[in-house]
Amino acid sequence: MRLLGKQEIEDIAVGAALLGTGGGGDPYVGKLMALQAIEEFGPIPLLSVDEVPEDALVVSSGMMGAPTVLVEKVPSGHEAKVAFQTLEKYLEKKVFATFPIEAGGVNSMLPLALAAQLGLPVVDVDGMGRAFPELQMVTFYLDGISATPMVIADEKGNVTLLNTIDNLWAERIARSATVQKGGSVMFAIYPMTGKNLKESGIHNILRLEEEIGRSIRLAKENNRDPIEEILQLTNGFELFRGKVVDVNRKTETGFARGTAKIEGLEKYKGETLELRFQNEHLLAKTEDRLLCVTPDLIAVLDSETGLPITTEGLRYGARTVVIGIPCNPKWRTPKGIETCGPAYFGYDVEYTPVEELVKKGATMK
Amino acid sequence: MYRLGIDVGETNTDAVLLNQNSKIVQTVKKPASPDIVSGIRAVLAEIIDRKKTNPKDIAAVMIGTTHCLQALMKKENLASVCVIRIGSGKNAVPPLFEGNDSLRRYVMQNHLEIDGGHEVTGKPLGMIDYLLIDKFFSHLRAKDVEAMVITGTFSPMNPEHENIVASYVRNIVGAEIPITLSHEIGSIGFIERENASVVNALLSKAMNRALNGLQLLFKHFGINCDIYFTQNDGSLMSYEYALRYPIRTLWSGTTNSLLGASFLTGLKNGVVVDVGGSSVRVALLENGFPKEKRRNQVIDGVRVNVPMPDMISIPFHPEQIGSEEFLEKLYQAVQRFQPRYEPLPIIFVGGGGQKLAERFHYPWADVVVPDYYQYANAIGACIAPVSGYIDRMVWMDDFNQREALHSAINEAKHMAISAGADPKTVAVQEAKTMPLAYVPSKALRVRVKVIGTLSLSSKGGM
Repeated sequence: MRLLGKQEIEDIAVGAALLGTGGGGDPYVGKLMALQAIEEFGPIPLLSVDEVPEDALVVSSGMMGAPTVLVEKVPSGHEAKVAFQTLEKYLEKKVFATFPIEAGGVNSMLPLALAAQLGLPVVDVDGMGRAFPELQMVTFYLDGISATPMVIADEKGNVTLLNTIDNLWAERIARSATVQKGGSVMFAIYPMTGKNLKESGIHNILRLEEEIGRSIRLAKENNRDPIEEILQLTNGFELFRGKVVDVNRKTETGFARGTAKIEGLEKYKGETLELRFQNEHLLAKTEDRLLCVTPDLIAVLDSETGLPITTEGLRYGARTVVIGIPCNPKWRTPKGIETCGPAYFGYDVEYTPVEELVKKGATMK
Repeated sequence: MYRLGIDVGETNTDAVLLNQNSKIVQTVKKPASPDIVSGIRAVLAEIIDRKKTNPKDIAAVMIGTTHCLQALMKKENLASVCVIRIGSGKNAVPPLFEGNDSLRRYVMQNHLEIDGGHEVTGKPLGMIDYLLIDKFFSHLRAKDVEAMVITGTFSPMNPEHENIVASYVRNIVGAEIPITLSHEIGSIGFIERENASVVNALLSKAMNRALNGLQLLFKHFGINCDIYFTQNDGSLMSYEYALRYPIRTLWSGTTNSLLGASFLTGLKNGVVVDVGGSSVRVALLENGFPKEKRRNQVIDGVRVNVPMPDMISIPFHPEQIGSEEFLEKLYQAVQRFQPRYEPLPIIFVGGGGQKLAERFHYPWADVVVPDYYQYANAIGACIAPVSGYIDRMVWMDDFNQREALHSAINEAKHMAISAGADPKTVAVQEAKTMPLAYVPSKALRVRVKVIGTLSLSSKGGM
């Protein structure tokens, strides 16, 4: 076990924004809540997955819905408390620890913020290694672990316990309940054993986020190029450098989706990158070849600071570096690709690992 | 017919008189005074007493001032602020949580949290309980409250509850206490909007004192035209608005220097170095306007969601002018704004602009020091445009985003025209709609900015 203080939280928040691959919501509110929890209760205990007893009950905590609503309805922590109490009562078992469902965005911060209020430690594991938009898009689902019984609670005091036949139904029902509850709810989800968590989860993800955040911070302090260090930490690849010249948001579906065009600079001069996003950045290609596609991670970074840019933050003239990061191997199985590969998001390309695409590109040149 | 631009800086108060052909006809530089008014009196005395200028020919006065920025940095004349939250933020992070103690101590520990505010759909979240407000104020000593802040959930979408509570509170605290409503200050993001509103309220006292007697002073000199202040985006606001929204003046010094540098050089793009008495500010001129910071905006360590210029401020004392360490810092700051290829010219303005430029070695692009460089800020104020800006959420029942955008554009144009813009010159600078992420909904964030030139024929002293 180790203890997370304020500096660790600041660093994790930056790493979380990067692994959010353009989505996942700004970790800011979660970060403030975590910092306040530290002021009030002291440093946050973080367990490695090996420290969790095999038969212990662990439950993920976080938010579901629109981050834009979350930043207007700042959670008090009470919502999560009620959700956990309801689940404990239903399962007739005490929860041992909580963990983030995803590494990217606000949901990687919320368990840290809520842990103190819940009186629980946090486990350094998540179910994505990145951010994804739907509840079943977790490695737990690939391993047949049920999302339910799950509880969603809003700030008004409404509590909903769901028991569904599978995780796709959990997503569907919980999402429409979230809309009814005002667009943002807190959840207690994927109750499982310590053994399940160890086998199915993605380990040491908060540590990775912390290292990413720290290297960006230190690079800035020491006037070093942060991009190189990010690539090393994540085993990532630089895909492109350039200036955003066009952002086209397709808003008619009521979802944050669209495309952006980035005009190449330096060795990419003359080329144009097309970026497609649906909440997260999901596909990057040039006129003649694919560069990276979901479930591999695409992060768009500010070329000077290395800080990640969200899909909402894309704006004309921004100078960016686009990087690709290999996803966790669990996503590269047939079921993984079926769950969150290009076809699921409606892109007519075949999934190819980013390292192969990079190699192919190199031989083409 | 003249326009009079005045820059009240840290070390000097400058004035510039422009004629209708935008030619500089007179410049004055006087040492700064601790308040705004006596510095302005000194420059007016020189301009008017020379008998060259008939005060009746001055059609508009534009004032740029860093007074509020100084007050905030030095923690001088800050108001003690009482915070009310409607709807959100119950038991959540306290007001101005990120601020350091020197700032936080101005926020009264006791704040009020009541039900209300709105959903993203625009529907009310709860009823306002007036008894709770009465009870809260019965425990407060009224004289401890110098300014109020009211923030409601989703007020950028529906400000109704902020307005209702404000008029109720007004009856309790009286007419003299400034009340800042968050929907008039910031955009989506409860905490950032509340932070910005608190900063605005903190500054209300400093601004009120600084402007005390200003209108009378101009009358005394026979200047009867409208008085404008420049705001953070470089555009003008009225005297009344400046009193109500002091936060909007915080970075006006920097934007004035950018507009002035552009006017003096004829350049639309460049890196501008504004050399002041105790700091040097570096910022980017992009297509004739300041490049804005739209992410992670911070005031004194506190995150806010108001537009501000993207700039780097380096502490500076004139004796440092040859210091290698300082020059290296300046070089790094300039580099941060330079594109990797085809570097932009670097324009030095402000009192020490010429001297610093001579020592600044930059082999990659032109270093420009224009004539009148030491008056760039006052000139920037003089030529400042008028704008209309809208950043809010709308809920569209018939889901027609084109209509939503169109009506926001019309509203922003109307704002600009009623702020004094010549209708013929009003043009859209930015228009953008963004839906919510992760939840299919009819909520749309609309951001529109229009800009026009100040009309001198409809108003002023002619």
